[in-house]
Amino acid sequence: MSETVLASPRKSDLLEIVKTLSDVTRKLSEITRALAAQAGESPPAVEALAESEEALAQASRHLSMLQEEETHQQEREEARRKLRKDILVELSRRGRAFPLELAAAILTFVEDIEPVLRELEKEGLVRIRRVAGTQVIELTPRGRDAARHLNGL
Amino acid sequence: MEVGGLLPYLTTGALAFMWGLVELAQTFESDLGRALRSRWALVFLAGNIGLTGIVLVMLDLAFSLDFRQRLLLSLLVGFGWQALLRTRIHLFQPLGEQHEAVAISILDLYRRFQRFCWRRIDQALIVERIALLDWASNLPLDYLRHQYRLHRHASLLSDFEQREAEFWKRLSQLPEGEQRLYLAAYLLRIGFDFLKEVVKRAPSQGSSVRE
Repeated sequence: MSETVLASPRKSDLLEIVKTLSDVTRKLSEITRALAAQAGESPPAVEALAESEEALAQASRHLSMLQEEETHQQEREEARRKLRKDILVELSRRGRAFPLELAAAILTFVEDIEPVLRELEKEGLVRIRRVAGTQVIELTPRGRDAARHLNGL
Repeated sequence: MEVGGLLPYLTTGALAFMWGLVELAQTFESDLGRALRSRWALVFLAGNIGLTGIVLVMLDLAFSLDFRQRLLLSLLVGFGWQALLRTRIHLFQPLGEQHEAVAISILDLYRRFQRFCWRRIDQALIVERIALLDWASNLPLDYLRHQYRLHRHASLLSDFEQREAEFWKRLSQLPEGEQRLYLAAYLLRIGFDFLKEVVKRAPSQGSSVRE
């Protein structure tokens, strides 16, 4: 028994298809308009084609925006992953740190590392303690293993 | 007491000292030198030796042993008791309620004592770091920038290269005090002694550096 697997098209493929359809519709619209002008009348097909052309152009713009957003999302996700890795590796290399020290060491800012630290703490990879009125971040045994793994040791 | 009679105590004491030292090294790995200079590290080491000595005295009084057996006992206490103190597993069997209660309370006491010393050492280290950071963040911005660049070039670091341009761009938009703080924090991360040297060499402030 054969089984057909239909892969859902990617946004970039869809965008290409919509753009092609839009081009085709525009050409058709131009041809129809030229023919209608020669005949001296305006059949409903001309208006329908013009509407389709507009709808396809809108769909194309919408898909472009979605694709752009997806690219940004991927970039943000990649940056977050890199920051997680840098934090774990830095803590494993030079031990515990204050948030300011840690941020400066990996050339970023406290407000950038705060959400990542909270996430790492929730996952049990770092511990945030209060010592002498300041926050101190250190790796947990699980965090040390993760850092070793990330560092390729 | 003869010197030979003290030998088991010296052996046990030396082993307890070594165990304590290893424990300190594991806990304060990145700041070991400064941790060892803290008086709470000495208190911890002395407490560790004292507690092990008490156990040896108790066993010594409970059993009448000859010199060789006492020496073996000292090794056993030096290794075994110290290992027992550091294990997280409950090793005691209910041989008698009184014995068990005593043993557990000693373990508990030791752990409390250890935690107390750790906290104190931690606090001392952090307070020192903050004080140095505070001091360094008052140095001229150009000097701190220069030290940062010097370190980046000297160590041929390629880490975070992609982030560096963005870092400088955003840093330059911050108030000058914050810029100094970030640069001082970067230098502190290289090492406490490194930043201390940077502060010492700083123009016009070198003579008043706190030791």
